[in-house]
Formats: sequence, structure tokens, C-alpha cells
Amino acid sequence: MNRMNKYRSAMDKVEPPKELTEKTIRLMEQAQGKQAARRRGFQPVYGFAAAAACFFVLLAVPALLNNGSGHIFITKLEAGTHISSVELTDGFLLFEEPSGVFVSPGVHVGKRGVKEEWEIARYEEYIGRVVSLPYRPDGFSLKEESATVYLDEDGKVVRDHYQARYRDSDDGELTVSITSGVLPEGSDYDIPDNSSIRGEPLYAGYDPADGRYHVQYMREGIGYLLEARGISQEEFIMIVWHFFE
Amino acid sequence: MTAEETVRRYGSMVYRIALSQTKNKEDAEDVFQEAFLSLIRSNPSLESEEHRKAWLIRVTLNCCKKHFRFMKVTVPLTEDIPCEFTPEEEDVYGAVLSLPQKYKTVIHLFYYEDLPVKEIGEILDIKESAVKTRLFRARQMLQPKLREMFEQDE
Repeated sequence: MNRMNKYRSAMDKVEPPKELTEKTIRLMEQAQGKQAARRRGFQPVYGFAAAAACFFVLLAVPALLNNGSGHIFITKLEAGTHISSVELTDGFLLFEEPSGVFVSPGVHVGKRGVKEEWEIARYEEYIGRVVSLPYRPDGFSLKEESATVYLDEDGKVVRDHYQARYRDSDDGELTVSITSGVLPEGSDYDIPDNSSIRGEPLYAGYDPADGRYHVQYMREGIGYLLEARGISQEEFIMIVWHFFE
Repeated sequence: MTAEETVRRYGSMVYRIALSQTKNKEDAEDVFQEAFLSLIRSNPSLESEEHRKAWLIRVTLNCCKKHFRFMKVTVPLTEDIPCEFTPEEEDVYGAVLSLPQKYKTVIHLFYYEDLPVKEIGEILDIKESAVKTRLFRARQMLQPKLREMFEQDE
């Protein structure tokens, strides 16, 4: 198609604005500077721990990466930081540090009526999916689990909330919250999604103040919030990725 | 390669892909920054310049997809052309940009970036046959539009 030469000549005329180029270079150099500063901040006193951690990673990561559905990671996580982006086989995650004050409404509109505790199987049937984690790190076990619904005068469910807490023998903790129709309580309500898995948008964050990783998203009309402390970023990504299956 | 060298070398490519996808200067600029910053954040181990180029194309397309998902903006065609096109160029540019996303992506990568079908398949994570099908359908969609435009000129 010779006429496509016109597309080529048109595109040849398109150039990024100089200010954009300069600004982007500046931002990249700043980001590199921050990374270098973080690396310089690494104290020799932690050398033994780091060596042990590296040894563990060398042993454990291949097993993790090959777990279940095969390779998950396309790009590597950035060493030495939790605020990073990673490409997965079917998506990408951009962990961001929360900035600003977020609004958590705490109490949902419509959370009124008669409260009932449901069996998990009944709740799973109600929302149409299995709520247990298909993948969880070694040593983690389910400690608490509840499914609460609120019924109106006609016995119709007006709000539901599922929560499960998994813990290991150390300080690792993993929480899964699910609510139909809205993001579960505890979610940050005014932040846009920044990541995607299997074509579904989600928000991924890391809060250095309490060492918490979290993702929140709506999928097929159901809101999810997955939070974790005391586990590695790789493990958290594995949990999230498998939960999307 | 330094940040500056990377942007100087691949900036035009990233910006052109972003603009062809978003059809909007402001959105293309957002995608441009996001794609290059992803390179710093991810620091992927890339074996060669071909890998770096392919990685940037893929990330740029991902950033565009993300942008669409979150913004849901519909932009009028060629409203924001940032340079002087001839009438013919404007017609063809508009026709390509009016194609559905998946078709204009393969058209751009094939006709502008000169990437072979195999490589396009690898970047988009689809089979070569799927790339060929998309190219075929894209050409089919373009032909009547372009014919009409050029006939009008004649």
C-alpha cells in the first residue's frame, strides 16, 4: 500500500516537544539518584542478613516463580525498594507510596438492617466465587474468617463483608476483605487504579510507615482488598496473581 | 546507556506510538513520561538494543492501555495534530488513527517501525498468524477510506 508512505511521512513530522524530553530526562535522573541514594544507605552491619536473604532468594524465588501457572514475572523487581513496578505475564503492577490523605468512609451507606453471620460456603455461593487464597506463603495459616451480611426488612442482602486473616509464626499477616458492589472497608477510596492483572485494573501500594503492601480493585461487581505485612514483595505478588485466577 | 541517551534515542518512537494510540497530545505526553520512568523503576536486564526497543514499545502500549482504562476519554480525530501535515498525510494519518486499537497498533509497528511480523507478535504476545490477520483486516478497513480520500482529491 503505497499510500502508507503518507502515514510514514506524516509520522516523521511528529516529534516529542523539547520541554517534555528535557523534563523526562530530568525526572529519570532524579529517580536514578534516589535509587543510588537508597543503595548507598545500605549499612554494612546488615551484610550478613543481606547475604542470608540473597541465599534464600536464590533458593526460593525459582520455586516461587514456577509455582502454579508457570512464570509470572517478566521483569524483575527492583532490588532494595518496595516502591517499584513489575511486568507480569498477564499484567503489570506499579507499587506506589501513598501520598496525601485518603478517605476511608469506614461505614458504608446502606449498612443497616439485620446482621447475620453466614457460613463461608453460603457466602461463596452468594458472591459466586471461592474466597480462600489459592496460593499462600509457607507457614501461613488461616486464623480468623467471617462472612457478615446485613438484611433489609424483606430479607434481602443490602451489604456484605467477608474478611479472612492469615498469619505465620513470626510477624507475617495477610488479610483478605471482600464486599459486593463497593470496595471493602479499609480501602483508599479516592485513588485511581495504577496497575492491571488479566486486563482488570487495580491499585497497588506500599506504605513504608507500616510496611504494608496492598491491592484493591473491583472485579465483576465485587470489591477486593488484599493487605500484607511481614512478607516479601514477590510473595505478595504471587498471592495477588493467583487470587485473580 | 544513560537516561538522556535513552530518551534521545527512543523518545520519538515512544511519542509517536503514544500519539497514534491516544490521538491526543496531552495523553501522549503522560504516556511518554510514564514509559521512560518505568524503565528506571523496573531496571529490566535487557541483552541488546533490540530488546530495549521492544521493551519500550511494549511498556508504551501497556501505559496507553492503562490510560484508556482509567481515563475513558474519547478524543476527536486529528483534533490535536502537533505539526504541519500535507492534506494527503492528514487524510492517511486520520484514517489510521480511526482504526480500532489493535489494528492501528499493528499498522504502526509494521509500516512505521518496520518491525517484522514475528517481532510484532512477540511484543504484543500474540501469534504471527494473528498479526497477519490483523494486518489484513486493517488494510481492508483502510482501503475504502483511502481510496475515497484520494478519489476526492483527483
